[in-house]
Amino acid sequence: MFKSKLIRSSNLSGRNSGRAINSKKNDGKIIIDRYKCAYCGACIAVCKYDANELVETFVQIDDEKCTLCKACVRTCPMRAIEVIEIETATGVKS
Amino acid sequence: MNFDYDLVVIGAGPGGSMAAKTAAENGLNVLLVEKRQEIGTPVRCAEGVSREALEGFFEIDRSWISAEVSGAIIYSPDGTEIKMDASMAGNEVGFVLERKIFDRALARMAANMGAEVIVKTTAISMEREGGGLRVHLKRMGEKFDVTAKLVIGADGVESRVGKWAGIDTTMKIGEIESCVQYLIADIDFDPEYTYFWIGRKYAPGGYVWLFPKGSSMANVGIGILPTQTKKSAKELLDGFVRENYPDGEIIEFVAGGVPVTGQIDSAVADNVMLVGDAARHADPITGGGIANALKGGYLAGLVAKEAIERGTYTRDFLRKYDDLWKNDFGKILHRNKILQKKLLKMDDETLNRLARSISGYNLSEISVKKLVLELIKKNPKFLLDIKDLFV
Repeated sequence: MFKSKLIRSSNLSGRNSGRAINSKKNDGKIIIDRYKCAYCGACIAVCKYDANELVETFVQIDDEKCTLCKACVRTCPMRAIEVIEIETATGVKS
Repeated sequence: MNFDYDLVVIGAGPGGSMAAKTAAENGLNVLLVEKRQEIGTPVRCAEGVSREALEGFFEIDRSWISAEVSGAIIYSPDGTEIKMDASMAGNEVGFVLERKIFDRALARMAANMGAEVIVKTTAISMEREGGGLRVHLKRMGEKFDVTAKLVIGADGVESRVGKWAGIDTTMKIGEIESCVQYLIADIDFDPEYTYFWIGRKYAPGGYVWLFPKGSSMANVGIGILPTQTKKSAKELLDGFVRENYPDGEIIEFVAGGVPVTGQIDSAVADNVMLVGDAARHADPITGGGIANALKGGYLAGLVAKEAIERGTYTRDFLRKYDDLWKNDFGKILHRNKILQKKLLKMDDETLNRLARSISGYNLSEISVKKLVLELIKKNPKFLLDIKDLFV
Protein backbone atom coordinates (compact mmCIF):
# COMPACT_ATOMS: atom_id res chain seq x y z
CA MET A 1 0.00 0.00 0.00
CA PHE A 2 1.26 3.43 -0.86
CA LYS A 3 1.17 6.25 1.59
CA SER A 4 -1.54 8.63 0.55
CA LYS A 5 -2.73 12.04 1.54
CA LEU A 6 -6.22 13.35 1.07
CA ILE A 7 -7.03 16.43 -0.93
CA ARG A 8 -10.46 17.98 -1.10
CA SER A 9 -12.23 18.15 -4.40
CA SER A 10 -15.62 19.59 -5.11
CA ASN A 11 -16.24 18.14 -8.51
CA LEU A 12 -14.70 14.74 -8.74
CA SER A 13 -17.42 13.07 -10.76
CA GLY A 14 -17.02 15.61 -13.54
CA ARG A 15 -13.33 14.87 -13.82
CA ASN A 16 -13.93 11.18 -13.75
CA SER A 17 -16.68 10.98 -16.29
CA GLY A 18 -16.19 8.18 -18.73
CA ARG A 19 -14.19 5.95 -16.43
CA ALA A 20 -15.29 2.52 -15.42
CA ILE A 21 -17.20 2.66 -12.17
CA ASN A 22 -14.97 0.34 -10.20
CA SER A 23 -11.79 2.20 -10.99
CA LYS A 24 -13.18 5.34 -9.38
CA LYS A 25 -12.45 4.22 -5.90
CA ASN A 26 -8.76 4.28 -6.65
CA ASP A 27 -8.69 8.03 -6.46
CA GLY A 28 -11.66 9.11 -4.38
CA LYS A 29 -13.35 8.39 -1.11
CA ILE A 30 -16.62 9.35 0.55
CA ILE A 31 -16.22 11.04 3.89
CA ILE A 32 -18.85 12.11 6.39
CA ASP A 33 -18.36 15.10 8.62
CA ARG A 34 -19.54 13.65 11.93
CA TYR A 35 -19.99 17.10 13.38
CA LYS A 36 -22.50 17.99 10.67
CA CYS A 37 -24.21 14.59 10.30
CA ALA A 38 -27.62 14.38 11.99
CA TYR A 39 -27.74 10.58 11.51
CA CYS A 40 -31.04 10.62 9.64
CA GLY A 41 -30.29 7.75 7.26
CA ALA A 42 -31.35 9.52 4.06
CA CYS A 43 -27.97 8.63 2.52
CA ILE A 44 -28.55 4.93 3.15
CA ALA A 45 -31.97 5.01 1.53
CA VAL A 46 -30.54 6.18 -1.80
CA CYS A 47 -27.49 3.90 -1.89
CA LYS A 48 -27.87 1.34 -4.65
CA TYR A 49 -24.72 -0.51 -3.60
CA ASP A 50 -25.54 -1.23 0.04
CA ALA A 51 -22.31 0.60 0.84
CA ASN A 52 -23.41 2.46 3.96
CA GLU A 53 -25.18 1.73 7.18
CA LEU A 54 -26.65 3.77 10.03
CA VAL A 55 -25.21 2.21 13.17
CA GLU A 56 -27.29 3.75 15.93
CA THR A 57 -26.14 7.35 15.53
CA PHE A 58 -23.29 7.17 13.05
CA VAL A 59 -23.03 6.31 9.40
CA GLN A 60 -20.49 3.72 8.38
CA ILE A 61 -19.22 3.57 4.79
CA ASP A 62 -17.96 0.44 3.07
CA ASP A 63 -15.33 1.82 0.68
CA GLU A 64 -15.13 -1.50 -1.11
CA LYS A 65 -18.77 -1.29 -2.17
CA CYS A 66 -18.93 2.48 -2.73
CA THR A 67 -18.75 3.54 -6.38
CA LEU A 68 -18.64 7.29 -5.72
CA CYS A 69 -21.98 7.78 -7.51
CA LYS A 70 -22.66 10.70 -5.13
CA ALA A 71 -26.38 10.00 -4.68
CA CYS A 72 -25.81 10.31 -0.91
CA VAL A 73 -23.88 13.58 -1.31
CA ARG A 74 -26.84 15.16 -3.08
CA THR A 75 -29.47 13.74 -0.73
CA CYS A 76 -27.88 14.70 2.60
CA PRO A 77 -30.04 17.43 4.19
CA MET A 78 -27.02 18.64 6.17
CA ARG A 79 -24.42 18.65 3.38
CA ALA A 80 -22.34 16.49 5.66
CA ILE A 81 -21.06 14.15 2.95
CA GLU A 82 -18.39 14.87 0.41
CA VAL A 83 -16.05 13.11 -1.94
CA ILE A 84 -12.39 13.68 -1.32
CA GLU A 85 -9.69 13.00 -3.80
CA ILE A 86 -6.81 10.75 -2.86
CA GLU A 87 -3.42 11.77 -4.15
CA THR A 88 -0.31 9.68 -3.67
CA ALA A 89 2.56 11.01 -1.60
CA THR A 90 4.69 11.48 -4.68
CA GLY A 91 2.17 13.95 -6.05
CA VAL A 92 1.26 11.65 -8.93
CA LYS A 93 -2.45 10.93 -9.09
CA SER A 94 -3.20 7.26 -9.02
CA MET B 1 -36.32 -27.25 12.94
CA ASN B 2 -37.15 -25.43 16.16
CA PHE B 3 -37.20 -21.69 15.83
CA ASP B 4 -36.37 -19.23 18.60
CA TYR B 5 -39.29 -17.03 17.57
CA ASP B 6 -42.33 -17.07 15.33
CA LEU B 7 -41.58 -13.49 14.35
CA VAL B 8 -38.69 -11.06 14.65
CA VAL B 9 -39.61 -7.42 14.07
CA ILE B 10 -36.70 -5.15 13.19
CA GLY B 11 -37.28 -1.53 14.18
CA ALA B 12 -39.41 -0.21 17.06
CA GLY B 13 -41.00 2.84 15.45
CA PRO B 14 -44.80 3.00 15.17
CA GLY B 15 -44.92 0.42 12.34
CA GLY B 16 -42.68 -2.12 14.06
CA SER B 17 -44.23 -1.80 17.48
CA MET B 18 -47.71 -2.04 16.00
CA ALA B 19 -46.75 -5.22 14.12
CA ALA B 20 -45.16 -6.71 17.25
CA LYS B 21 -48.15 -5.75 19.39
CA THR B 22 -50.66 -7.21 16.93
CA ALA B 23 -48.74 -10.45 16.46
CA ALA B 24 -48.11 -10.92 20.20
CA GLU B 25 -51.75 -10.15 20.95
CA ASN B 26 -52.62 -12.98 18.58
CA GLY B 27 -50.45 -15.46 20.40
CA LEU B 28 -47.23 -15.30 18.42
CA ASN B 29 -43.83 -15.58 20.03
CA VAL B 30 -42.31 -12.23 19.06
CA LEU B 31 -38.95 -10.45 19.37
CA LEU B 32 -38.87 -6.69 18.72
CA VAL B 33 -35.37 -5.35 17.97
CA GLU B 34 -34.39 -1.67 18.11
CA LYS B 35 -30.93 -0.48 17.13
CA ARG B 36 -31.07 2.71 19.14
CA GLN B 37 -30.50 2.70 22.86
CA GLU B 38 -33.64 4.79 23.36
CA ILE B 39 -36.92 4.01 21.61
CA GLY B 40 -38.47 7.21 20.25
CA THR B 41 -35.29 9.25 19.90
CA PRO B 42 -33.77 10.88 18.01
CA VAL B 43 -37.03 11.96 16.40
CA ARG B 44 -37.01 12.18 12.62
CA CYS B 45 -40.52 13.41 12.06
CA ALA B 46 -42.78 16.47 11.92
CA GLU B 47 -45.14 14.55 14.22
CA GLY B 48 -48.45 15.38 12.52
CA VAL B 49 -51.20 12.76 12.37
CA SER B 50 -54.96 12.81 12.02
CA ARG B 51 -57.21 11.96 14.95
CA GLU B 52 -58.81 9.26 12.84
CA ALA B 53 -55.50 7.45 12.33
CA LEU B 54 -55.05 6.98 16.07
CA GLU B 55 -58.69 6.45 17.05
CA GLY B 56 -58.91 3.41 14.84
CA PHE B 57 -56.38 1.59 17.00
CA PHE B 58 -56.12 3.09 20.44
CA GLU B 59 -57.73 4.70 23.38
CA ILE B 60 -55.85 7.97 22.89
CA ASP B 61 -53.67 8.97 25.81
CA ARG B 62 -53.31 12.75 26.20
CA SER B 63 -49.63 12.41 27.05
CA TRP B 64 -48.92 11.41 23.43
CA ILE B 65 -50.38 14.66 22.13
CA SER B 66 -48.33 17.82 22.08
CA ALA B 67 -50.96 19.96 20.34
CA GLU B 68 -54.33 19.65 18.68
CA VAL B 69 -55.21 21.61 15.55
CA SER B 70 -58.49 22.26 13.80
CA GLY B 71 -57.26 23.57 10.48
CA ALA B 72 -54.51 24.07 7.96
CA ILE B 73 -53.36 27.13 6.04
CA ILE B 74 -51.44 26.83 2.79
CA TYR B 75 -49.46 29.77 1.41
CA SER B 76 -48.62 29.95 -2.27
CA PRO B 77 -45.34 31.66 -3.27
CA ASP B 78 -46.94 35.13 -3.50
CA GLY B 79 -48.61 34.72 -0.09
CA THR B 80 -52.11 33.79 -1.29
CA GLU B 81 -53.80 31.88 1.49
CA ILE B 82 -55.88 28.71 1.28
CA LYS B 83 -57.63 27.91 4.51
CA MET B 84 -59.01 24.56 5.56
CA ASP B 85 -60.91 24.74 8.81
CA ALA B 86 -62.60 21.71 10.29
CA SER B 87 -63.71 23.31 13.56
CA MET B 88 -67.00 24.72 12.20
CA ALA B 89 -68.08 21.50 10.56
CA GLY B 90 -67.03 19.41 13.54
CA ASN B 91 -64.82 17.40 11.26
CA GLU B 92 -61.77 15.48 12.29
CA VAL B 93 -58.89 17.41 13.70
CA GLY B 94 -55.19 16.80 13.60
CA PHE B 95 -52.72 16.01 16.33
CA VAL B 96 -49.12 16.99 16.66
CA LEU B 97 -47.62 14.11 18.59
CA GLU B 98 -44.82 13.87 21.09
CA ARG B 99 -43.09 11.02 19.27
CA LYS B 100 -40.66 10.40 22.12
CA ILE B 101 -43.63 9.48 24.31
CA PHE B 102 -45.83 7.94 21.63
CA ASP B 103 -43.18 5.53 20.31
CA ARG B 104 -42.38 4.34 23.80
CA ALA B 105 -46.05 3.85 24.61
CA LEU B 106 -46.40 1.65 21.53
CA ALA B 107 -43.32 -0.42 22.36
CA ARG B 108 -44.71 -0.82 25.85
CA MET B 109 -48.02 -2.07 24.44
CA ALA B 110 -46.10 -4.67 22.42
CA ALA B 111 -44.23 -5.70 25.58
CA ASN B 112 -47.47 -5.87 27.57
CA MET B 113 -48.87 -8.23 24.95
CA GLY B 114 -45.92 -10.52 25.52
CA ALA B 115 -43.37 -9.44 22.91
CA GLU B 116 -39.73 -9.51 23.95
CA VAL B 117 -38.03 -6.18 23.33
CA ILE B 118 -34.30 -5.63 22.89
CA VAL B 119 -32.68 -2.21 22.37
CA LYS B 120 -29.21 -1.00 21.34
CA THR B 121 -29.13 -3.98 19.01
CA THR B 122 -28.55 -3.79 15.28
CA ALA B 123 -29.58 -6.41 12.74
CA ILE B 124 -26.50 -6.93 10.59
CA SER B 125 -27.63 -9.62 8.16
CA MET B 126 -29.93 -12.58 7.72
CA GLU B 127 -30.07 -15.78 5.74
CA ARG B 128 -32.59 -18.52 5.04
CA GLU B 129 -32.33 -21.67 7.10
CA GLY B 130 -34.65 -24.63 7.55
CA GLY B 131 -37.64 -22.90 5.99
CA GLY B 132 -37.16 -19.83 8.19
CA LEU B 133 -34.53 -17.16 8.72
CA ARG B 134 -31.43 -16.80 10.83
CA VAL B 135 -31.03 -13.15 11.83
CA HIS B 136 -27.59 -11.94 12.86
CA LEU B 137 -27.65 -9.26 15.53
CA LYS B 138 -25.00 -7.13 17.16
CA ARG B 139 -25.28 -5.61 20.59
CA MET B 140 -22.53 -3.39 21.98
CA GLY B 141 -19.99 -5.07 19.75
CA GLU B 142 -21.11 -8.58 20.55
CA LYS B 143 -22.55 -10.68 17.75
CA PHE B 144 -25.27 -13.26 18.23
CA ASP B 145 -28.12 -14.67 16.20
CA VAL B 146 -31.71 -15.79 16.47
CA THR B 147 -33.92 -17.90 14.24
CA ALA B 148 -37.48 -17.07 13.24
CA LYS B 149 -40.19 -18.22 10.90
CA LEU B 150 -40.93 -14.66 9.83
CA VAL B 151 -39.22 -11.28 9.86
CA ILE B 152 -40.99 -7.94 9.61
CA GLY B 153 -38.67 -5.17 8.44
CA ALA B 154 -39.78 -1.93 10.05
CA ASP B 155 -36.31 -0.47 9.82
CA GLY B 156 -37.25 2.89 8.42
CA VAL B 157 -36.18 4.92 5.44
CA GLU B 158 -32.68 3.40 5.66
CA SER B 159 -34.14 -0.14 5.58
CA ARG B 160 -31.72 -2.96 4.91
CA VAL B 161 -34.10 -5.83 5.57
CA GLY B 162 -35.72 -5.25 2.19
CA LYS B 163 -32.33 -5.25 0.46
CA TRP B 164 -31.33 -8.51 2.18
CA ALA B 165 -34.61 -10.17 1.22
CA GLY B 166 -34.34 -9.06 -2.39
CA ILE B 167 -37.25 -6.60 -2.25
CA ASP B 168 -36.16 -3.69 -4.38
CA THR B 169 -36.89 -0.54 -2.41
CA THR B 170 -33.81 1.48 -3.37
CA MET B 171 -34.87 5.03 -4.07
CA LYS B 172 -33.64 7.34 -6.76
CA ILE B 173 -32.73 10.78 -5.48
CA GLY B 174 -35.91 12.10 -7.07
CA GLU B 175 -37.92 9.82 -4.78
CA ILE B 176 -36.76 11.03 -1.39
CA GLU B 177 -37.56 14.25 0.41
CA SER B 178 -34.47 15.59 2.10
CA CYS B 179 -35.72 17.18 5.34
CA VAL B 180 -34.55 19.38 8.18
CA GLN B 181 -36.66 20.66 11.04
CA TYR B 182 -36.18 22.94 14.01
CA LEU B 183 -38.27 22.97 17.13
CA ILE B 184 -38.51 26.73 17.64
CA ALA B 185 -39.59 28.34 20.91
CA ASP B 186 -40.93 31.82 21.56
CA ILE B 187 -42.58 32.54 18.21
CA ASP B 188 -46.01 33.94 17.30
CA PHE B 189 -48.68 32.04 15.36
CA ASP B 190 -52.28 30.90 15.78
CA PRO B 191 -51.93 27.44 17.38
CA GLU B 192 -55.30 26.32 15.98
CA TYR B 193 -53.66 25.74 12.58
CA THR B 194 -50.85 23.92 10.85
CA TYR B 195 -49.13 25.93 8.11
CA PHE B 196 -47.64 25.01 4.76
CA TRP B 197 -45.60 27.10 2.33
CA ILE B 198 -45.41 25.70 -1.18
CA GLY B 199 -43.51 26.48 -4.38
CA ARG B 200 -39.94 26.65 -5.62
CA LYS B 201 -39.45 29.94 -3.79
CA TYR B 202 -39.63 28.10 -0.48
CA ALA B 203 -39.00 24.43 -1.06
CA PRO B 204 -38.25 23.01 -4.52
CA GLY B 205 -40.11 19.70 -4.83
CA GLY B 206 -41.56 19.86 -1.33
CA TYR B 207 -42.84 22.36 1.20
CA VAL B 208 -42.07 24.24 4.39
CA TRP B 209 -44.26 23.38 7.38
CA LEU B 210 -45.07 24.75 10.79
CA PHE B 211 -46.74 22.33 13.21
CA PRO B 212 -47.65 23.79 16.62
CA LYS B 213 -46.26 22.16 19.72
CA GLY B 214 -48.01 24.41 22.19
CA SER B 215 -48.90 28.07 22.06
CA SER B 216 -45.54 29.64 21.19
CA MET B 217 -43.49 26.66 20.07
CA ALA B 218 -43.57 24.72 16.81
CA ASN B 219 -41.86 22.22 14.54
CA VAL B 220 -40.72 24.35 11.60
CA GLY B 221 -39.28 22.21 8.86
CA ILE B 222 -38.61 21.75 5.18
CA GLY B 223 -38.62 18.87 2.72
CA ILE B 224 -37.07 19.22 -0.72
CA LEU B 225 -36.31 16.92 -3.62
CA PRO B 226 -32.54 16.82 -4.16
CA THR B 227 -33.14 16.71 -7.92
CA GLN B 228 -34.94 20.06 -7.84
CA THR B 229 -32.29 22.27 -6.25
CA LYS B 230 -28.57 22.57 -5.67
CA LYS B 231 -29.15 23.99 -2.19
CA SER B 232 -29.40 21.79 0.86
CA ALA B 233 -32.53 21.44 2.98
CA LYS B 234 -30.71 23.13 5.85
CA GLU B 235 -29.64 26.15 3.79
CA LEU B 236 -33.19 26.67 2.54
CA LEU B 237 -34.76 26.28 5.99
CA ASP B 238 -32.23 28.67 7.51
CA GLY B 239 -33.23 31.25 4.91
CA PHE B 240 -36.93 30.77 5.68
CA VAL B 241 -36.45 31.00 9.43
CA ARG B 242 -34.25 34.12 9.17
CA GLU B 243 -36.96 35.83 7.18
CA ASN B 244 -40.04 34.66 9.10
CA TYR B 245 -39.05 33.75 12.65
CA PRO B 246 -35.80 35.61 13.28
CA ASP B 247 -36.43 36.00 17.00
CA GLY B 248 -37.31 32.42 17.81
CA GLU B 249 -34.94 30.13 19.64
CA ILE B 250 -34.13 26.74 18.17
CA ILE B 251 -34.28 24.17 20.94
CA GLU B 252 -34.13 20.99 18.89
CA PHE B 253 -32.70 19.97 15.55
CA VAL B 254 -34.05 17.14 13.42
CA ALA B 255 -33.08 15.73 10.02
CA GLY B 256 -34.63 13.02 7.95
CA GLY B 257 -35.36 11.44 4.62
CA VAL B 258 -38.96 10.76 3.62
CA PRO B 259 -39.68 8.23 0.89
CA VAL B 260 -42.02 9.64 -1.75
CA THR B 261 -41.70 6.69 -4.09
CA GLY B 262 -45.41 6.02 -4.32
CA GLN B 263 -46.84 2.53 -4.23
CA ILE B 264 -44.17 -0.17 -4.60
CA ASP B 265 -45.04 -3.43 -6.41
CA SER B 266 -44.57 -5.67 -3.43
CA ALA B 267 -43.48 -5.35 0.18
CA VAL B 268 -42.98 -9.09 0.72
CA ALA B 269 -40.52 -11.90 0.00
CA ASP B 270 -40.31 -15.45 1.36
CA ASN B 271 -40.49 -15.15 5.19
CA VAL B 272 -40.33 -11.32 5.04
CA MET B 273 -42.74 -8.38 5.13
CA LEU B 274 -41.90 -4.67 5.19
CA VAL B 275 -43.90 -1.95 6.93
CA GLY B 276 -43.82 1.83 7.26
CA ASP B 277 -41.02 3.85 5.64
CA ALA B 278 -39.15 0.59 4.94
CA ALA B 279 -42.03 -0.29 2.58
CA ARG B 280 -42.04 3.30 1.24
CA HIS B 281 -45.51 3.76 2.70
CA ALA B 282 -45.16 7.50 3.34
CA ASP B 283 -47.54 9.72 1.41
CA PRO B 284 -45.93 11.34 -1.68
CA ILE B 285 -47.89 14.58 -1.21
CA THR B 286 -48.03 15.14 2.53
CA GLY B 287 -44.95 13.13 3.48
CA GLY B 288 -47.02 11.74 6.35
CA GLY B 289 -46.00 8.24 7.41
CA ILE B 290 -47.39 7.47 10.86
CA ALA B 291 -50.94 6.57 9.86
CA ASN B 292 -49.85 4.14 7.15
CA ALA B 293 -47.12 2.67 9.35
CA LEU B 294 -49.72 1.88 12.02
CA LYS B 295 -52.10 0.34 9.49
CA GLY B 296 -49.34 -1.56 7.71
CA GLY B 297 -47.96 -2.82 11.02
CA TYR B 298 -51.40 -3.98 12.06
CA LEU B 299 -52.08 -5.74 8.76
CA ALA B 300 -48.64 -7.37 8.67
CA GLY B 301 -49.19 -8.58 12.26
CA LEU B 302 -52.48 -10.20 11.25
CA VAL B 303 -51.00 -11.86 8.18
CA ALA B 304 -48.08 -13.10 10.32
CA LYS B 305 -50.57 -14.77 12.65
CA GLU B 306 -52.29 -16.49 9.76
CA ALA B 307 -49.00 -17.59 8.21
CA ILE B 308 -47.88 -19.14 11.52
CA GLU B 309 -51.21 -20.93 11.95
CA ARG B 310 -50.92 -22.45 8.50
CA GLY B 311 -47.18 -23.02 8.65
CA THR B 312 -46.79 -21.21 5.31
CA TYR B 313 -44.17 -18.50 5.01
CA THR B 314 -43.83 -18.20 1.28
CA ARG B 315 -43.91 -15.02 -0.71
CA ASP B 316 -47.07 -16.24 -2.40
CA PHE B 317 -48.88 -16.51 0.88
CA LEU B 318 -47.50 -13.25 2.30
CA ARG B 319 -48.78 -11.44 -0.77
CA LYS B 320 -51.99 -11.35 1.19
CA TYR B 321 -50.37 -8.51 3.11
CA ASP B 322 -49.66 -6.73 -0.20
CA ASP B 323 -53.33 -7.07 -1.16
CA LEU B 324 -54.45 -5.68 2.19
CA TRP B 325 -52.26 -2.58 2.26
CA LYS B 326 -52.77 -1.86 -1.42
CA ASN B 327 -56.53 -2.00 -1.04
CA ASP B 328 -56.32 0.20 2.00
CA PHE B 329 -53.87 3.10 1.58
CA GLY B 330 -51.97 1.84 -1.49
CA LYS B 331 -54.53 3.44 -3.78
CA ILE B 332 -53.91 6.81 -2.16
CA LEU B 333 -50.13 6.41 -2.47
CA HIS B 334 -50.65 5.75 -6.17
CA ARG B 335 -53.04 8.69 -6.62
CA ASN B 336 -50.87 11.13 -4.71
CA LYS B 337 -47.75 10.08 -6.63
CA ILE B 338 -49.49 11.14 -9.83
CA LEU B 339 -50.59 14.39 -8.18
CA GLN B 340 -47.02 15.01 -7.00
CA LYS B 341 -45.68 14.59 -10.55
CA LYS B 342 -48.29 17.03 -11.80
CA LEU B 343 -47.37 19.58 -9.12
CA LEU B 344 -43.66 19.25 -9.87
CA LYS B 345 -44.32 20.51 -13.38
CA MET B 346 -45.95 23.70 -12.13
CA ASP B 347 -43.97 26.90 -11.74
CA ASP B 348 -44.63 29.33 -8.90
CA GLU B 349 -46.90 31.57 -10.98
CA THR B 350 -49.13 28.58 -11.79
CA LEU B 351 -49.34 27.70 -8.11
CA ASN B 352 -50.27 31.31 -7.32
CA ARG B 353 -53.00 31.22 -9.95
CA LEU B 354 -54.42 27.96 -8.59
CA ALA B 355 -54.30 29.27 -5.03
CA ARG B 356 -56.10 32.47 -6.03
CA SER B 357 -58.84 30.43 -7.70
CA ILE B 358 -59.97 29.00 -4.35
CA SER B 359 -58.60 31.57 -1.90
CA GLY B 360 -61.31 32.92 0.38
CA TYR B 361 -63.34 29.71 0.22
CA ASN B 362 -63.42 28.06 3.57
CA LEU B 363 -62.79 24.38 3.05
CA SER B 364 -64.37 22.55 5.95
CA GLU B 365 -62.11 19.53 5.86
CA ILE B 366 -58.36 19.06 6.07
CA SER B 367 -57.81 16.69 3.20
CA VAL B 368 -55.82 16.53 -0.01
CA LYS B 369 -58.84 15.12 -1.80
CA LYS B 370 -61.15 17.93 -0.77
CA LEU B 371 -58.57 20.53 -1.74
CA VAL B 372 -57.92 19.03 -5.16
CA LEU B 373 -61.64 18.59 -5.87
CA GLU B 374 -62.15 22.28 -5.15
CA LEU B 375 -59.26 23.16 -7.47
CA ILE B 376 -60.68 20.91 -10.20
CA LYS B 377 -64.03 22.67 -9.91
CA LYS B 378 -62.39 26.05 -10.53
CA ASN B 379 -59.79 24.90 -13.06
CA PRO B 380 -61.46 22.02 -14.90
CA LYS B 381 -59.43 22.16 -18.10
CA PHE B 382 -56.06 22.62 -16.46
CA LEU B 383 -56.58 19.69 -14.11
CA LEU B 384 -58.53 17.50 -16.52
CA ASP B 385 -55.86 14.78 -16.56
CA ILE B 386 -56.09 14.11 -12.83
CA LYS B 387 -59.84 14.50 -12.51
CA ASP B 388 -60.64 10.80 -12.70
CA LEU B 389 -58.32 10.03 -9.81
CA PHE B 390 -60.25 12.24 -7.44
CA VAL B 391 -63.88 12.11 -8.46
